[in-house]
Amino acid sequence: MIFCPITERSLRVRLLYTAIYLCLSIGAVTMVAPFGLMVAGSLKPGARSGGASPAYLFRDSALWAHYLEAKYRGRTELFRMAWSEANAEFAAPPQAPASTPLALWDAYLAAHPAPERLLAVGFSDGRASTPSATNRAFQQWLRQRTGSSITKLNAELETTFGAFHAIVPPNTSLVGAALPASPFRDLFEDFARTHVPPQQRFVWDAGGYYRAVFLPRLIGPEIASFNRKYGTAYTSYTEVPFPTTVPTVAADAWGTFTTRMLRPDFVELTPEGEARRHSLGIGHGEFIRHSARPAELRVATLDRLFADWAHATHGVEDARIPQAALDHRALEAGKAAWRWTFLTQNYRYVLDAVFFYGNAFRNTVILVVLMIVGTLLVNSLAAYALSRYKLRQTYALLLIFLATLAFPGEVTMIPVFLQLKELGLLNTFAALVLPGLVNGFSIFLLKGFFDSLPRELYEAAEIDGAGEWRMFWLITMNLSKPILAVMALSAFVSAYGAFFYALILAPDPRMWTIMVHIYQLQQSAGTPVIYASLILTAIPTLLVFILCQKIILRGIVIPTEK
Amino acid sequence: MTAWRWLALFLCLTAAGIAQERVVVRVQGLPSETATDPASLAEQKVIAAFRKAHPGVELRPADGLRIQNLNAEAATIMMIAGGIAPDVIRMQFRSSDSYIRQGIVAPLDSFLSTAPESPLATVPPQILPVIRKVGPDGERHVYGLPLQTLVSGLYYNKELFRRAGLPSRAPRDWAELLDFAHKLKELGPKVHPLFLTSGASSGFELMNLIRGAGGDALCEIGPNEWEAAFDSPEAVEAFLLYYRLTRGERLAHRQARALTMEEMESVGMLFRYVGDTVAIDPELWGFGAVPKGPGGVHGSEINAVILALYSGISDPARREAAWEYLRFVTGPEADRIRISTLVELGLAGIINPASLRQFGFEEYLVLTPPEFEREFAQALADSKPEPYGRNCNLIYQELTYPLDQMLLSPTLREAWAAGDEAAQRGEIAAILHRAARQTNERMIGHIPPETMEHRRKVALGVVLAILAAFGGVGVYLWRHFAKAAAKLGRPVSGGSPVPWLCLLPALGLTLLWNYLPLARGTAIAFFDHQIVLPSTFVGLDNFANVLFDPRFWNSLLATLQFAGWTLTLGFFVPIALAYALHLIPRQKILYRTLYYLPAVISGTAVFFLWKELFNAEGILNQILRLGGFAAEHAWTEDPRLAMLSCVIPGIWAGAGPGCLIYLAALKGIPEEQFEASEIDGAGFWSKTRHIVYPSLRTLIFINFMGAVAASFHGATNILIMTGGGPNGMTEVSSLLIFFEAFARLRFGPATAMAWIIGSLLLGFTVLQLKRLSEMEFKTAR
Repeated sequence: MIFCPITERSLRVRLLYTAIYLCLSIGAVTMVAPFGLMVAGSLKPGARSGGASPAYLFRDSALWAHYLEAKYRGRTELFRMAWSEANAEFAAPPQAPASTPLALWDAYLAAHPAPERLLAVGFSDGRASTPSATNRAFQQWLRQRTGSSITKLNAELETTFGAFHAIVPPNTSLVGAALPASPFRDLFEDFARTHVPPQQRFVWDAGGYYRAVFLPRLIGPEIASFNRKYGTAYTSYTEVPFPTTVPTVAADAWGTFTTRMLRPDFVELTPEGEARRHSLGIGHGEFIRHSARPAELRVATLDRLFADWAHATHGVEDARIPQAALDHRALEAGKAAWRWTFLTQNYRYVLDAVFFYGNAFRNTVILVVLMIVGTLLVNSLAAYALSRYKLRQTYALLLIFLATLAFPGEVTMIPVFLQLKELGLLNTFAALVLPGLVNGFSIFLLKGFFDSLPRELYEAAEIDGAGEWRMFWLITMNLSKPILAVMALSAFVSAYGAFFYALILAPDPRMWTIMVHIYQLQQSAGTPVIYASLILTAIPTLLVFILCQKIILRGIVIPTEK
Repeated sequence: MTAWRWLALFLCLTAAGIAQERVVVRVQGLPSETATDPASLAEQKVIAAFRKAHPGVELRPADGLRIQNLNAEAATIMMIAGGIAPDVIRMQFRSSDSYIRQGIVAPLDSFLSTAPESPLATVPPQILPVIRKVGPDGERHVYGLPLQTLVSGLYYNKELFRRAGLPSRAPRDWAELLDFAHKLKELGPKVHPLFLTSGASSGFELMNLIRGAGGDALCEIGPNEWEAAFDSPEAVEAFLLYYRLTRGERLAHRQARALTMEEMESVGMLFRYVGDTVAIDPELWGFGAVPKGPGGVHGSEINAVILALYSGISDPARREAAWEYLRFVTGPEADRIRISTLVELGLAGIINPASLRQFGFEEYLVLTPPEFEREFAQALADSKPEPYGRNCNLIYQELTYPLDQMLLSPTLREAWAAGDEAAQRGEIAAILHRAARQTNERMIGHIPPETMEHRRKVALGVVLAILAAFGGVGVYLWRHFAKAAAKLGRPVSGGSPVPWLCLLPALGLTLLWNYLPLARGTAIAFFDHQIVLPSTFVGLDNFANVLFDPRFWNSLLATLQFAGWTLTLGFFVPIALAYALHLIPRQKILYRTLYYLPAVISGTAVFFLWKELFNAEGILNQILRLGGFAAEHAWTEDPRLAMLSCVIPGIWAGAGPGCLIYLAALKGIPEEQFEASEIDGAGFWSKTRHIVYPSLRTLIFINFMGAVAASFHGATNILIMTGGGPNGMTEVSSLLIFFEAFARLRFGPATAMAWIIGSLLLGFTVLQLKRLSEMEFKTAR
């Protein structure tokens, strides 16, 4: 203490303390604030919706936006289809939707279980670099089935996945070609049927797509152009009917949509159509795309099945699937669970993709251990020799070691790489460890420190008949623990954090450490995932510092004039 | 030891790989098996088809690391220099000439002549001169095939256009561009009518404008001899438009970082490439050709990745296999697979109608916007390739120098305020003229012999001075250390081999990994170093050219500034922090930990984090605006703040770890000293001066010497923060050396620079070594 307890209570000293605390606190805020931004950013579940996160924790509107973005895979097209609204953005419905249509829909489902292929799976992003709930559940399910062996999985399913975290569900779509069956697709459908709860799904809604996506694209974004073309008076595309068979209004658009766009397996043929297809001798899909007349077609998506049922049994005209109300019910029931999912999913993703992926963790441990052991051993041995044996060349040797500090790094970079290659060391831990092992400054510090150890100890040990190796361990190393701890820490920090050279010197992914994987992840992932990865990687270093700061402070070597 | 077991394991694996009979081809750009975005899925299918067709060929990935702000070429060049070059190399137009000239890529003529149908038939005519070039043997050859042709265009935000009452199409000419932009601006302050890239690649949009005006950045003055032409009257018009859009009427938002999806919602128009597919969601964004300029053309740029064969493949079977791969992935079958995969994925809407038609997917044409095909055809018709001549690697960067100068010019600002068009054009022309001359000297490097003779003489002097300095210092240090050695008295070793055994690992490693590379590296400074072709000895020419390169001296100035800021701001922060932490009676550990927090984030991440904070819309500018300042530009792009923004993150992250050593030293001061002085009635300042300062003085001195040497580095961080801009203001020497070596492949001059800088630092290092030898080292108890 600079001040003794009595003066410490004087006004001037108290003022001084206050000033120092104030400055330190302001400084601490600037240290912590960027961290806060990073943590906040890492909790953001989606790339698009929401501003300064994590607002979804407090505000339902933000939660809604994230929920919808995640459920509809971040694709407005799917969302507009499901909600049957042409200009919908990912946002909560303005008011709670009415519950009457819900009852009707529930009644229908109770009577007619929906076939798997008419349903879409929500919360499953097509990009492996984006965390999503269904993807992860599917990956975990596959892990269990195959005993976490990706090779077994690939062999079984004829796939080429590199890792479990890279598996995304097979793509499905309302429009386009009928998707060919594959073992992988079958397996996913199994999973979806048994493990994805109904509220996380939505219907492949042909009517919704027709109204909200297809017509605006075909005719123009404004309903006015539609009205002009067909002499109607709708106020929005939502009102345009999409019947099961060819309508009187906009029959040509309906025809284009069903013959050209809608997946052929979502369309059935009338008996006349079926007969004509048979006489032409072509397949279902080919007939629809190339030969069918609109009058020969019936749309067989779930929205049409439901509407026709509602009309036949309850006399309801043009019933729609109440997807907005369904989503409302699902989210109201599970707000807390979704908040928790959004809060943790980026971190889970990083853990899956980096920390527990392949050899990353093991490589990091090996590299860190090799680096620490190597640095301590090589530099201490040299310093020991210089300190204990007063060689004639002592200072010449010291100069040789120290002079390397003055070498311009740019000059040596390429030759070092060439040499590693000539010695066949690329893609080995040797390439990552050997070139940086000797540190002139460390040798110099250690030698200085060893010089200060009492000589009598060595003399006594010699009398006891201790060998050189024992003396090195029991006396020199033993008495230098704090300073060695500091050197070990800096070796840890540099080995743990190295990615640039790690990547150049070991291009083989099997040799990559956690940091290299993180660096690669940063090239494809969004900012929230990157922030999560930075926070996770910071934890080991932070723990080491918090646990070791006392030892570190004792081990720091300070130069003093002789 | 574990390392050896690993080593053995890997040797076994490698051996197992050799034992197989399959031909291994190392290629770049293999789709990652872990990627599942549509483009990668399509590419995976292409590769699967190739594997099926060629079961005897094994493809291995040969990608290097990707560095932000710099293309992937640094890693490729490292691999080539290290002799582990990929067999199939990916080249950019702008760097292709370097690869060809240096003999890195091989002519494809023999393959092309035997190919059943000529692959060249489907190559767009604009690209032919890029791939068919005069090689090092003086003959014209075809060196590569384009992978996917891209044309630059102007995308527009459909929603914002609708809200602004604009037609649903891109502007057709410059007048419309300005008109549309003004209408978009009326939507409110949050809407940015146009997005332009700032930073090292800001030349991209500018190039489109220059060409639209009827000019070009470079013109071919002889067979494969190019000259900077961006000082033409047409270019003046393009620069003027750029000024008008940015500084003048503030219609454009400039940012170095790519836009996030969120940010894109408030951007009206932006320049990007389009190829077989559009780059942005066609639901939200429409595409049009680059607006026509006064030159009456669209000025779009045509670009592609060129695949080429590495010239050093010695095994004919491997060369054949590499060609098969190259041919397959650039061929029509691969295109068909790509397109049909995207269609299967339900993405027909993003595909170029021409491609849909080509591969029989006419039924999906209804999904694609009708203007897509027309606009693409127009853009393609007027397009010119990205510059592909000699030393064009950094052409975008060369353009940023006059661009930054123009944006910063006070004369132009006044002329703009006065509405004096002649003065505006005059100032821009003057800036462009100067910049073009410099670019020419650097790119073409034509120097009259008598000038060169003079430069060599100067270089000789400098090299002799460096040698003398190193020699003198060596002798001085040797004597100094020998004097210290003499004090040791009689050697104690008594001829025992033990000390030498102990020294062996360290000594061996140092000689092998420090001294040998230094010697080999130094030789490069005297050669025109070539990666593949034999290097020629050029004597002192590298030094001569470096010494007369204004950019070298500019970088030296930047280095001194950087060092100055780092030392004045950064060096004393840890000392003050340590003293404060030492003084406070409570919560020491808490504060210590808080200040150490930044150091736990991995190195470069700190800089990426700060770059976000320095952004034009970043939190720092928001705070400044609250304080009433007109903070509009990103700190990294503001000439007054750019250098500071490179320095601050390092200081921020370094304060915590840096203060530890001082903390330890402060702890080591005996309590009695303070008690004694307290009795003498000494106050805080007196104690600081008479007790604390003397006990830290030595430490501060030693650390300062080290900090000086360290402040001469920092290239990676500046590369991340500013990339050297604006106008080269933060291009420190180590960054320039990095650019010279890995972007321009000029290893000779780069090494010469490294030596000149190294010798400047020599004095400090020697001083530090000498003082170190006079110290003794103790840990604080």
